[in-house]
Amino acid sequence: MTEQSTAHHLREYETIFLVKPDLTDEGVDRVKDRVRGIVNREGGKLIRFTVWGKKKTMFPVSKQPRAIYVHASYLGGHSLVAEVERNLRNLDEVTRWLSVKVADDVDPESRPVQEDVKLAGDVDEARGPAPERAGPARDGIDPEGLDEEAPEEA
Amino acid sequence: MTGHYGNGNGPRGDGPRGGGGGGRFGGGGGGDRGMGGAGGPGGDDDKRGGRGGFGRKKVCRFCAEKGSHPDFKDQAMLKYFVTERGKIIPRRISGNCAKHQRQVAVAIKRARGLALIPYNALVG
Repeated sequence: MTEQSTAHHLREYETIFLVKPDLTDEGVDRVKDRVRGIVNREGGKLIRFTVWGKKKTMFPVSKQPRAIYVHASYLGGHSLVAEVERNLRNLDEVTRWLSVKVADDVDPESRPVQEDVKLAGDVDEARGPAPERAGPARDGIDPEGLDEEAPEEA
Repeated sequence: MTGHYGNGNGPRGDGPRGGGGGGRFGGGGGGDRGMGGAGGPGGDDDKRGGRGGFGRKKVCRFCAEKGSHPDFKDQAMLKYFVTERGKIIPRRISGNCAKHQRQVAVAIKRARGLALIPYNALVG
């Protein structure tokens, strides 16, 4: 391993941020484009965006019961992370974010850019403000409400 | 540890035993028990009984599954390691090894910040 090749290696980071739930898809795309622009400008490489969709949060975040989760995976240096976070702070739509280093010493050539993914989220928003009803489809969570029918034949 | 050592020595009164610190954990273990008055048999029972026949040996699920590690994004997995109220389940109950329990704890705290796991949920 030569010195030059290691010098060219970058770190892999991931940033998750929460966006206000009333934002439209275009609004989310705007935020994504902004982050993508920063990463490219600072010499990083954006691997993939994953929009988790609108999810119910465990507690109200900025007075909203749910939020849109966006996950970004990218390569870069520490100054890039600082710049991304500084911009997220300035965006009013972004309520929370968390950046984590995933790996050291990643060769940018070995990680191709992947297509963005959009997941459905877990709350049926067409139903409006009645999220308690749609229990069974929630992923990973045990539907503890498999009652509904207890005929009580004595 | 020095404090511990001093306390042990006070009542015993045989301070100048050489290398006392090591002795406490090594061969001195039996001696300590004897001093406590419980006698040798109790100590032996402890060792033989082990888990006392209750339950079974827990295996750290991250060690059992090679290559898996705690991930703060995996909400369903983290749910195994918190109570309904959102408290972290201790290692002696969850069965995690020390290394993975530390990682689980960090993952849970990160997930809390993202509202994936409650800080404190009221029951009922």
